[in-house]
Amino acid sequence: MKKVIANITIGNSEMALVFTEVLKLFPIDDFELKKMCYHYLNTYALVKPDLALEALPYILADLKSNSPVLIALALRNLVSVPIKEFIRESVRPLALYLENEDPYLRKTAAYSIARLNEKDPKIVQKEDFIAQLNHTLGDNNPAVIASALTALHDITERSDDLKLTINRDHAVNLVELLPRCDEWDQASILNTVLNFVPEKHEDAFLLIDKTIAQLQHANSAVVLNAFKLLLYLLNFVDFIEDHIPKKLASSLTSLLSKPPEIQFLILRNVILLILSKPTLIPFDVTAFFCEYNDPIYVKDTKLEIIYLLANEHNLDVVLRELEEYGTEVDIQMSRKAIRAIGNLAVKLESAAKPCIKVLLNLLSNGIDYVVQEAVIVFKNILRRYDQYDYIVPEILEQVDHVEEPEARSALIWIAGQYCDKITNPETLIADLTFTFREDPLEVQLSSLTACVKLFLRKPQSSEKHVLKILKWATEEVNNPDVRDRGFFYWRLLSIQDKYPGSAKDVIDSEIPLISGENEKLDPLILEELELNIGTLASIYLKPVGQVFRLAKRKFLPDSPARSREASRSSSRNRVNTVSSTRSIASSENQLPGHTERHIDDFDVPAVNVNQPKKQGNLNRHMSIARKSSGLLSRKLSIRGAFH
Amino acid sequence: MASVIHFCDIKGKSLLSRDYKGDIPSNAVEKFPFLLVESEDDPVSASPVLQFNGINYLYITHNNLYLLALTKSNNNVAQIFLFLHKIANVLTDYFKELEEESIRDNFVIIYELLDEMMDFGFPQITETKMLKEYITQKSFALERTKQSFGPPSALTNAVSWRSEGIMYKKNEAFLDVVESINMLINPQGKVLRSEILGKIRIKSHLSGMPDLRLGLNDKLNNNSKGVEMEDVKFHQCVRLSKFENEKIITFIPPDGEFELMSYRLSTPLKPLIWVDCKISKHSNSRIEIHAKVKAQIKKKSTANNVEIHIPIPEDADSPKFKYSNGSLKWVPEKSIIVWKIKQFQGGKEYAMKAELGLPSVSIDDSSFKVKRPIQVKFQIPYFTTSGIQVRYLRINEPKLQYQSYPWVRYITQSGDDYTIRLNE
Repeated sequence: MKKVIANITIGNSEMALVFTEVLKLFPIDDFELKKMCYHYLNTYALVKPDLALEALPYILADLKSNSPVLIALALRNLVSVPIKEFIRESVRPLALYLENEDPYLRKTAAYSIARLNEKDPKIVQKEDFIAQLNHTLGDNNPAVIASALTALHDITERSDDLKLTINRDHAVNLVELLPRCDEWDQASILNTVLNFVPEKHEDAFLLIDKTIAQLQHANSAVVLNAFKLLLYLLNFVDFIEDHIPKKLASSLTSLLSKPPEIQFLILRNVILLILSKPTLIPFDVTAFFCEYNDPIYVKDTKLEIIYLLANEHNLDVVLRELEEYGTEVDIQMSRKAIRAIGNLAVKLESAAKPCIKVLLNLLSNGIDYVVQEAVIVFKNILRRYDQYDYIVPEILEQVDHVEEPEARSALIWIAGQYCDKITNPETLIADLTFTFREDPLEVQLSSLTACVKLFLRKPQSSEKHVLKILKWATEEVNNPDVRDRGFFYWRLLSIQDKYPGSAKDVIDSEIPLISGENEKLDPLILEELELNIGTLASIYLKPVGQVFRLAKRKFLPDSPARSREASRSSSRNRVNTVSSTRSIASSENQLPGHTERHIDDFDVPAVNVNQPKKQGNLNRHMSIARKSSGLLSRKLSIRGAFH
Repeated sequence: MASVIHFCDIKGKSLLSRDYKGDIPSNAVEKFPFLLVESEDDPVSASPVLQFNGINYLYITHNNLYLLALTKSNNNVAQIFLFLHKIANVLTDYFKELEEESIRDNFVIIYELLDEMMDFGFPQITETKMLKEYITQKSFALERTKQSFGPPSALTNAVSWRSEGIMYKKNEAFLDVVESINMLINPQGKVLRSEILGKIRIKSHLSGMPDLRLGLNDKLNNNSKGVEMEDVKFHQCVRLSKFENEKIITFIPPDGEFELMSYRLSTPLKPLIWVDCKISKHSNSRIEIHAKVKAQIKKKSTANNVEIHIPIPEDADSPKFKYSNGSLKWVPEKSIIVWKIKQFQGGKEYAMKAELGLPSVSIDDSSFKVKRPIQVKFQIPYFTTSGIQVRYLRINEPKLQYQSYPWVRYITQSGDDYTIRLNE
């Protein structure tokens, strides 16, 4: 038998042939053997349903045994086999054991009902299991209550018309149960209490008082669920005591000494909190400085947090730290740090000057990738502020280090835009565009524009070169984008005599300002994410419906206890949903291969990084979802009537 | 809530799996190796959470294994990661070492354990001690053991981490107070960041159901002198509400070793071990390192097993050392030199000088420009940096009323990140 199991493990499908032999082993009274038989049955029941049926009597016999462990084993397996007869037979024992005197069996029965629900929700409703589970909530054993609650929660999450409601007394009882539960049960209880809607401030306060101790649990799942619950409850109070935000912050930062995967999760949630409740929770930026041995994904996320937390007060410390990362061993890290410095300069006006100093410092290092990254961010800084154009010559000195397309196109843009500020721009631009015909698309496009800009400002000295580039673009390049732009410029230039200034208006006009406020997420999405702290959605930082098609959406319910201002603002948000999500849709619907770079196409740190890669399908799904968002808001108003 | 748990080898191929929900096709795991490779290629997206086709792949690494959980729904990630870590712990307790080999050798018992540790995707019992009471490596017939056989009643009791009827001849409890110091020091000796990560570990050899009460000299109790702990996290056995309201740590300990509590302090500290290091490079031919190390701790204290890792250029070779104490070694694989000092008394200061040759033509000039810090490792026994002390540990077993012996040990050590930055 061990050999059979071994073969199943390596995925040998021929093992289904020995089904009859295994059946003979079923009645043998050896526990280890029984476990293996059940495992076998589970694996092959669907392949040979007729043979599996022959095992049914044995299972039913095991259910009558007097060993709780064996009964539990039989019960679990009975509901896992997706065959009609098995399911039918499971109904009676489930009801029976849910009332059994052994808590271990009651617990197993509760979970088995949840499993049964997944296989066949109709039978669960028909047999009134939900009422029975509800009844079990009054059990005297905390572990059983927790499992019944978990089962109910799971069942309601899967169903459209069932909703788990918890009233005040229930919520209080559950929270008081916490100290007597094991750690996993605590986590799931905390999760379900989220379904309670406090009607009065006092209720929320009471629950906060009783939950806050759980922040000090060693199990991070408990801590996160407690955190989620507290944050939720804080929506229903009229004032927040000083020590609570501090406790919340420190409960998260202390989890940063856990294994890196947990750290990663915490850090993603910190980002979420910074975006959604920037003033509530006081994070100390130094807690997020990278450690030398952190895995790259942790460093990366920390870097985003540092960027987001940076402000006038901590600028000094932050900048010094980022400068260190700029010369890190890891190339990716170093690049990201430089980009963060650049974004910081764009975000905070007061930070621009010191940031530029640091960047120039890094630039003088002469390390290729550092220089290239610096050039890219300099382009953004120059776009944002006019007064720093004195740095242009210094940037252009680094021409030799710049090879990557993105950096080159940034450099060429700078050269074209500031050709008045540099000596001998003609040769420089001629040099930069020398390889025009072989360059990647991105570089070709910016080269074209830069040349024409130069021509508009200094027509005499650059005419020859512009003609050469336009000729290349229109005759020798195969890409339609480049060719079109070439023709377009050419015609613009040729009608110059008739409409003087027209080309200048189009190509070399005032450039629209960019701002650093790109990191905002839709408030409604943030609200939903807050209710999903610690879950996968919080890692992706995306609306739940986008990542999990079947998941129920969560909303902050209205209640008299919710502070009036907050509920008003959120109802306003709801009305806005349609328009605001649509704007996201348009920006996300850009195809991955779409290389046209808008000049305001900024690095959006918080939202862009670590996104799941394959988005094609999801986006399509999203756009469908959005079409119906009008419906959604209507539904919301109906929901409002319930409360 | 994980749907499937897989153990995968170093390439991401599944060795053993347990399906808890049946909502994920069994071939989904075959995509995992590709996702891994993809995420390695692109470090920006490398994270322990991968997504493909609506299925989420959450994994941790352990020796030469990936422990992988697949899920389709929006779950508490901490729960899944923590559970994977717990599996690793439990299996390590069972087999001493958890690696590819031990998976292959023990698949039957692993199935049994996975069966008990999780039900329908919800974690159940994850304490090795409890599991060992009814899942053993020996097979046995049900007939003979019918009377006593069953899950320990503790599993569903309020005290799910300890079973009744534990007996010891001599009742002892060993407390270890361990503080790990993380510190980042700039080349001038200024501390940029410092934190103390403290842990109190207990090894309990106590009979019956003892109720313990731990007294510390923290500020929580007496406001004046004492240690203020910022973030304290407790083992599930500690009564949290009691701590929240009365600041008293009381608990019924699990049997054997466990971590009672951990705490964090971010008070500013002076460097305990300070290295002053100057590296000078001479015209692309050789590099000279002068380093002085000082133990800035009490004269009575001694730091043990001090190790100082000084980074050197990758292409440096033929080292020449001059030093007064300890031993110096060149580790070319890591491009560092390691200075080891077995015992380092407080207040003492040692110096060393190292010279390494550099090839006249440097391969990559930038490799020297990127900075790696000096890393320091050490242990200081009988000493806590925070000054925390155990005042008392009262042990009370209401039924047995035995005499018991609590023992306390203190140690301060370097954390994962005790680093000193170098000048350029």
